[in-house]
Amino acid sequence: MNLTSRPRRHPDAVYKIVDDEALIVVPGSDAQHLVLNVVGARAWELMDGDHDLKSISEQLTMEFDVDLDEAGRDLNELIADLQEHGAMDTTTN
Amino acid sequence: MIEVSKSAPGGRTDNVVTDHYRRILKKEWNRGNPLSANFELTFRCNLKCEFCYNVDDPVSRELTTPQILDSLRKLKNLGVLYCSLTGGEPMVHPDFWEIARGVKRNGMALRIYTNGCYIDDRAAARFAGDVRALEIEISIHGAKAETHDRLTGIRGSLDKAVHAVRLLRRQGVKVIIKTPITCTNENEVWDIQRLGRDLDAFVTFDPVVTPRDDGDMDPLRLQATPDFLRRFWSEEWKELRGGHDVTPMDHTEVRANCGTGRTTIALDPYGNIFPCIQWRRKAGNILEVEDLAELWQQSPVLQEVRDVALKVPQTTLKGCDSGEFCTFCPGVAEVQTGDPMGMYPQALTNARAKLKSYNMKHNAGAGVVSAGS
Repeated sequence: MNLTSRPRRHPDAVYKIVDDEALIVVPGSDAQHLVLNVVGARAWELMDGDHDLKSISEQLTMEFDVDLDEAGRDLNELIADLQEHGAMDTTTN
Repeated sequence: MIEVSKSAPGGRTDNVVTDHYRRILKKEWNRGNPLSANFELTFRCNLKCEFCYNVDDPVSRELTTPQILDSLRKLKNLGVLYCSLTGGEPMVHPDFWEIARGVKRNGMALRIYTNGCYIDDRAAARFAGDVRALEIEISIHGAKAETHDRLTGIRGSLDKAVHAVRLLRRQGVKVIIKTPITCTNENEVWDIQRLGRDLDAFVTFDPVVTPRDDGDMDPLRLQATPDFLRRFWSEEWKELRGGHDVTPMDHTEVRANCGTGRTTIALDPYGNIFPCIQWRRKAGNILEVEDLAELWQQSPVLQEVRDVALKVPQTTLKGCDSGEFCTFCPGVAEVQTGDPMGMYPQALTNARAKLKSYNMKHNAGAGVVSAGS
């Protein structure tokens, strides 16, 4: 994904933040329960279709001990992982 | 930096969840934050199951649809993540789909407990798309129509249930077949298991019949026979139990008997709030409560049921010859014995059958107490 992409959580995925971690439930025939750590949970919250990748990465560098390159790389991996589990809305970017 | 952990597909019946998922559940359990809600939309039903525990209240008025939708908002604010719509038969509610959409709109995963009679092509497609159900649980009471239909009191009900499972699976909706075992269907459990496999649906069996909520013991005459229960809990029949071994519980490890008053909030069609669908100790009414969290944390009723759940392993189960194997429900105990900590026969019969099975597998007598007959 490029820096101007605006990733969005799948509208069918539901979640709850527990102690800064995200418990995500993705309905479907292969229903999934995913848990994201504190950084992943923050990224998940920011993936609302309004924030682009650049702004999400920048936000993560402000809130956590991580540089922009690492944040960008991890974010792309996270999105790929979430897409694989049906947790991302792939109809919009 | 970013870590994702995930459960295997399947969920409850395959018992595969990651440590991370378990850890979060445990945190919420310790705090008494319910992740699940069971919402009985109505006690009306198109079937007449002989063993149904529901008792209609002819005086109280069911919640209106706007009240139900507002209740969903309150459940969401409480932190509920999984919302089950049940009944009665939830799909007889005239605004069922609006309510199901309300669950989704409030960011909760939707589960439905239904007899399947109202699921046609269109409904199956809506469960897959419009409301995106997490799973649908459909009751099947026999592999033969004569058995199922006899228990439900309605001819043709098995065909409809099986058809519903097919339609849902075709749409990719996860289906769990639920079978309460009775003396009427106990000889068909393996056929039901095969039926589930053919339909590509999980099957869960429940070998315990409970009294009606008003204390009527009539359903108990349908209990599975002791002979059947001995077979059910045997090593050879493990497949029927989702592959689970019979294992003793360690009372020094078990903190509470069950999650009553902690894991799941239950609502009846009139808005009454209970700690569990099986234990109808009223903690309040949702129409009178704006902040459910306050009620959930401060209700003396809920505190009492949590205390009972903590005491049961150290009292009722410790004092029982097969307590290490006992699945005990304080709600059933209260209805049946008048005491939420009073041992009731079905729990004991099953526990002794489990103990016997365990002893047969692990050198009888080696550190395991023996039960009475």
